[in-house]
Amino acid sequence: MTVDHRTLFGALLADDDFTARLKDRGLSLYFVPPEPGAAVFVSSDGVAAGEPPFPPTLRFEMGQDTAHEIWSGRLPLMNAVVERRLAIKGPVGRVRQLADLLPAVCATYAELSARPRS
Amino acid sequence: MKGMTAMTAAVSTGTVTNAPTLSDTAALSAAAMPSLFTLPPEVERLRDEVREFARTVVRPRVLANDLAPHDDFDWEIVRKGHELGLLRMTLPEEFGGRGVGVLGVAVALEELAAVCASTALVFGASLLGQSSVLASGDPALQARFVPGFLGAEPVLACNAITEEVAGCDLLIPENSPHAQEVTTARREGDGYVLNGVKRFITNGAVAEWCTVFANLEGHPGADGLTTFVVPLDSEGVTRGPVADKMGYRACLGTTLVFEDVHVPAANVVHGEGNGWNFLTMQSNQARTTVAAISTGVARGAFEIARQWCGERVQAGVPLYRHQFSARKLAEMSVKIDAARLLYLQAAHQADNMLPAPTYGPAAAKLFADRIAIEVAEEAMSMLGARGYCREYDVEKFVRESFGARIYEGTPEVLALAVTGALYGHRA
Ligand SMILES: Cc1cc2nc3c(=O)[nH]c(=O)nc-3n(C[C@H](O)[C@H](O)[C@H](O)COP(=O)(O)OP(=O)(O)OC[C@H]3O[C@@H](n4cnc5c(N)ncnc54)[C@H](O)[C@@H]3O)c2cc1C
Repeated sequence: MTVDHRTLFGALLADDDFTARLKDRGLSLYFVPPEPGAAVFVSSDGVAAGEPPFPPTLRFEMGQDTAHEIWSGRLPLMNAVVERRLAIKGPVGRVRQLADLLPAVCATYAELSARPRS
Repeated sequence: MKGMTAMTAAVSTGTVTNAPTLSDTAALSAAAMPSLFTLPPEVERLRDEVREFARTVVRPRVLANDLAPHDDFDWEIVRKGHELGLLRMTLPEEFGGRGVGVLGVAVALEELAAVCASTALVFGASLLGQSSVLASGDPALQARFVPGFLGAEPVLACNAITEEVAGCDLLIPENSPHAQEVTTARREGDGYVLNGVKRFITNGAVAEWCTVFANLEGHPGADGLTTFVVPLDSEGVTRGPVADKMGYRACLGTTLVFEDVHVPAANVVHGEGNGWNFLTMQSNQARTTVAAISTGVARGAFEIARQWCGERVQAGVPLYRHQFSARKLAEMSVKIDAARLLYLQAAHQADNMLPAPTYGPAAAKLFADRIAIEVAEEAMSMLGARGYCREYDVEKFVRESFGARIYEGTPEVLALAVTGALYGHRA
């Protein structure tokens, strides 16, 4: 089952450690799927739908299916880029700062996607 | 060096001069003028260090290296460049690298190429080889292949695409179905067995490991292309003859033969069949830095011509006072500025977009490669007979200006990339 970015990062930001790591690095992420109106902005301040309140550090353009494969741990982030299923805009050097956040994202994604839908 | 004044002698040897060099004056005017492109402080620092390295370490050895046998290699320059961090420019700072990105590499390579394009390519080709490991995002692969660049002794890498039967067939998407009889990778046991012959591989003779593009057996053309990291001391690897090139003589272009070379599955980058996509992404970054090399070649030739025209007196006035020469000098200078602006823009894009776009880097290289040939040829003609003699350095720039027009995309390859982007076939 797929989990949308709002739910995923909402759950992640409930973890103080994850939020602190975003804050320490000054990282904000903007997920933009092809469907209009479905963009989600994530920063240590919270998760918001729609236009970002300030310019994001990194903007991720990808479909829900690609996101699902990445967060499920089946598709390495850089493979998604190489296969042109994911475009990242923003300082490329900062993409590396996501590396140690990924395990937490994937773990939370696995947990949420295993939950029965209410 | 008969007939040369102290100043022109200095141009040739780079040793004695009181006149400001173009780099000095350009740096002064750049500092005084507002610019859209303010280099980040770490890139400015790198540029200044590389400029000094090029002046003090590379320049005194240029002529000797150019005249040396085609398979001689100057490890001393590489060793000193390594001390400066040129082999770890793109490695992240947390790994001990300089972490400068495409912009930093481009600016550094322009500085080197303004003195010696071959030296620029020795470092550039190594960074290109490294790029597969860095872009893999695979910590295990990085842990095995990155630390070598951080040790006391220099380690070089290389990147092997070209084959006897396939040059542009491995670069132009429309050509790729014809890349049939290229290096193959057969799945076997816990890895792959590589067989094939790569040609003209810069650093192939001296590198420790190589990024190799090979087709999975039974999957010819772009679909099966896969990227492997291959240590060159692997059993079955033979380093073949070094090409006797008309320019770029200080960097060695070598045949690499792979005969039943076993490569572990852990050395595959981005998985099976992703080689073409990675190659495209890699080229889009590399074209920016090669555009910078061509810009440097043009600048190096121009610096000699500018100085010469400032002091060579014919018909009672320095050459630059003759309107024909003035027009030429102005055109040359503007072409170099334009080439630099194009590559700076492409570098900015490549540092802020993954994957890097096609248009900007291809356009920058298409333009810079062309103007390098035009400017170098014009500079050589401005020195008259002296331009035709090796000791005045300028003819080397002419020979080298033709090199970058071949690697990382010929004008035809680049034109197809640019129009592909214009018509929406390529991102
Ligand atoms: C200094 C130097 C360094 C190099 N370093 C490396 C290296 O490190 N690694 C590596 O792999 N290779 C390297 N090369 C090789 C280089 O990348 C190739 O030579 C280049 O890709 C062209 O291939 P080719 O020589 O086989 O020419 P070909 O592919 O045979 O092309 C010959 C001509 O035909 C044109 N052409 C081909 N197809 C088309 C088409 N569809 N439409 C229009 N025109 C077309 C080309 O533009 C070219 O003008 C290097 C070359 C040089 C000169």
